[in-house]
Amino acid sequence: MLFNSYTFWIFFGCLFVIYHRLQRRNQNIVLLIGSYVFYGCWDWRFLGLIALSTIVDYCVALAITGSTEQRRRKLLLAVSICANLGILLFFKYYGFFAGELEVLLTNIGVPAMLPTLNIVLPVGISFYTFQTMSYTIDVYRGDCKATRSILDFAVYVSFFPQLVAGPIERASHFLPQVQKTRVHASTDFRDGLFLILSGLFRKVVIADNMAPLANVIFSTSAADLSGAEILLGVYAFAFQIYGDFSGYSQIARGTAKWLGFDLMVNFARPYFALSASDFWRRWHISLSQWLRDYLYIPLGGSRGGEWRTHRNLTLTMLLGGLWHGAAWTFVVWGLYHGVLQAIFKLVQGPGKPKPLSLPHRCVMIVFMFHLTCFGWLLFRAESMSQVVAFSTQMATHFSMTPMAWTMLGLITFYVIPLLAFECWCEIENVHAPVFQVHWAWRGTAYLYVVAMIVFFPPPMPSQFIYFQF
Amino acid sequence: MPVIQEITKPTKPDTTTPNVVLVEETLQEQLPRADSVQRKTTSELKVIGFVLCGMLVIELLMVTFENRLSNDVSHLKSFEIIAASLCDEQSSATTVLFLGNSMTRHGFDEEAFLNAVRQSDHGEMKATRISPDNTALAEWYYIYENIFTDKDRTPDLMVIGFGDGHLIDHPSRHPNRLARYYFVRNHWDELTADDISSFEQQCEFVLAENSAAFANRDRIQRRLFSSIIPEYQTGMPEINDRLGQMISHIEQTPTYHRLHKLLSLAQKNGTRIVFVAMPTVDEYEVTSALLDIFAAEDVSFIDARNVTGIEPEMIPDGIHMNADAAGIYSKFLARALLNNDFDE
Repeated sequence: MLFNSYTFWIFFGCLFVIYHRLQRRNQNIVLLIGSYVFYGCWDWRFLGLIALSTIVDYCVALAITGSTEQRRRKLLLAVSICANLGILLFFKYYGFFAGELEVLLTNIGVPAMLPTLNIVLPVGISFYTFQTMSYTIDVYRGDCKATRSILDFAVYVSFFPQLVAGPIERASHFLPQVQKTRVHASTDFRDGLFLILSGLFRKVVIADNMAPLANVIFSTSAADLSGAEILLGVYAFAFQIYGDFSGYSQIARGTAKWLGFDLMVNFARPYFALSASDFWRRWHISLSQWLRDYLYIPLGGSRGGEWRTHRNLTLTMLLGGLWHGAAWTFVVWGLYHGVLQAIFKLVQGPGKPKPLSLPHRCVMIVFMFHLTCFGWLLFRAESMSQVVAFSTQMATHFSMTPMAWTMLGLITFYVIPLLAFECWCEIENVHAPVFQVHWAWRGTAYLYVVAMIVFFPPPMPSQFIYFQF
Repeated sequence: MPVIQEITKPTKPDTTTPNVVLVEETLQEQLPRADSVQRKTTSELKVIGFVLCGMLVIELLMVTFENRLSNDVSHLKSFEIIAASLCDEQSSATTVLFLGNSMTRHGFDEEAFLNAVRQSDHGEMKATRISPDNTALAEWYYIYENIFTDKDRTPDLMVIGFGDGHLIDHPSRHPNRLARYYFVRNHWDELTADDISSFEQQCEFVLAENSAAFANRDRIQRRLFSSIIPEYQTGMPEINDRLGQMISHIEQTPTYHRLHKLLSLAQKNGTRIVFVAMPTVDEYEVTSALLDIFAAEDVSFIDARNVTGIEPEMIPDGIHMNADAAGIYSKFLARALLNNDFDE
């Protein structure tokens, strides 16, 4: 059930009507049933996994709270982490590591036949396992109280707007909202509408229209493409993945708003970043913060000198890359961002970066955008040899062909309005400056968005990219 | 609106919890005055009303000017008139419907065809052409079923011009156009079984049925991009070709269920069908499976892939004939039809 499908909106409409006629406890029951139906539409077989993850972490958190013995608490935490990571490793990484180990053993002269399992990757597994894991860690650390209501906890784990692609909500932020009676602010409807329209625009108009351009380039041999076509293909992918993922997050936040919940902001205009660390403060914020709090800081963070900081940063980003998928390209992408952050830190030196003049700021934005795009080339490429071939072609055979002109025209047509809007947000330093203007201007903007969604759909709709992570 | 009801009727905070002060403060901060709620809601309703009015204006403009969007739209809208004109009189003339896509539109020269007929000893013949763009058997089937199966409108002879892969089973390429211009509700079951099986497709079909703008959105896109993007006419087909190559990696054995359905429908209505393999620059195969069906169903087949006099340069884009080639092709077709007495 995709957010950009009629089925989802009929489902949501029915749930919305029932939900707003009930009291809190019954609302939570409806949310839980709705969430399981939503997930069951992808693959009902994996509902057991969510239920298992929910039960394990619910029990472990209560046991941690009930125990004063540090050793036992640590053991309980280890059980939770092993259970969650075990599920993740088995479903997501077993095939990859088994295959790589087989190659390694064969190369050193010990041919091995490891059992291969054709495991289907459960949708959104990386998101909900990280979410439940953060709960037990927070309970262990005393940052969050364990809940005694399994219903509330199950809603926290499986809340359908953010179940399959985030944001990865922390229990300390989201669980109290589940436990409390919902309070609706006067701006909820307005904010929800803005977020949903903005999300649909990003997904349907931008991401899905960029997808064919990126797919065509990445499925063609470098020798058959000009450098300009490759560069534009990488740009197309940059906006595809941004539109896709930020679109999902926006719709998730919008629908949650209409249900009386506040989900965290997951994207804050990442292509306006001035440095690598600034990019990660703006891109997939919920994952960045998760990695910071549960990986980077426990590794030592910035304590222990410059070298250790760089090591921790690189290691965190490498694992962050691996979180995205079981392939070397993701590992290299994570490593690239880790190294990039370390280089930026070295160049900028200690302390806060100085404010930049407008021209310098613009140059840095363009520069950082291209560094990010190189990262996307690593991320999207079928193999490392394709990265090398594409890079060589861009450097040596750069020419504007009719296909390149068409791609440039399409990217400009679809993406420039979004970038213009984000530029406005950046200047005003707010997420939705549309609320500061007269309703007629807002109406005109919404009319443009709706017309684009209706009249400029993609040749073929595609799934949200981050579902596979 | 349930949302507003909730706003105006807030539930009391749970005073048993230790952070009661914080909860109350948050509530006071969040709870707006009733007039403020009213103002914000009214403003947002105005926005929604504005958007709806805007969409209505776009629809009205589209309904008014849709003929200008493409010649194909006028053609799609004229099917009923064409059908009525073909069989409007009590005459003894043989009625012939030439059915196909843009290959037929470019390739069939009505005047050349009728001149060739007049020069023969054959009796009077009345011919017309229906050739919507980018269509294949699925659309031709629905055109015949929806427009020509009425007793008074059934043509005596239907000449279907096809190219590579046009007769194999494939869902309709343009269900939105079908929905808007030549769909009959009685055939919903058939349509959902063969062409628009998913709920999403069915929703879009219903929208297209009721909105000219929605039904023609691909044309709006193309028209706009052609005028604002340099080299779009050359670049986009290249992108589409490459996308097509990506998809066509999955080879499937072609099936011909819809062809069988068309043949039995035509037989039931007393229409004889002639299939014509049309000339193109690239050679294509008429499969043995297809020839077997023609033979088994006693259907006539004219192989016009290599007509004497039609040179490759007379088919500039490789698919569509120019006027000279159309003249030669139409005369060839007339001779082939008359020699074989297909209308008898």
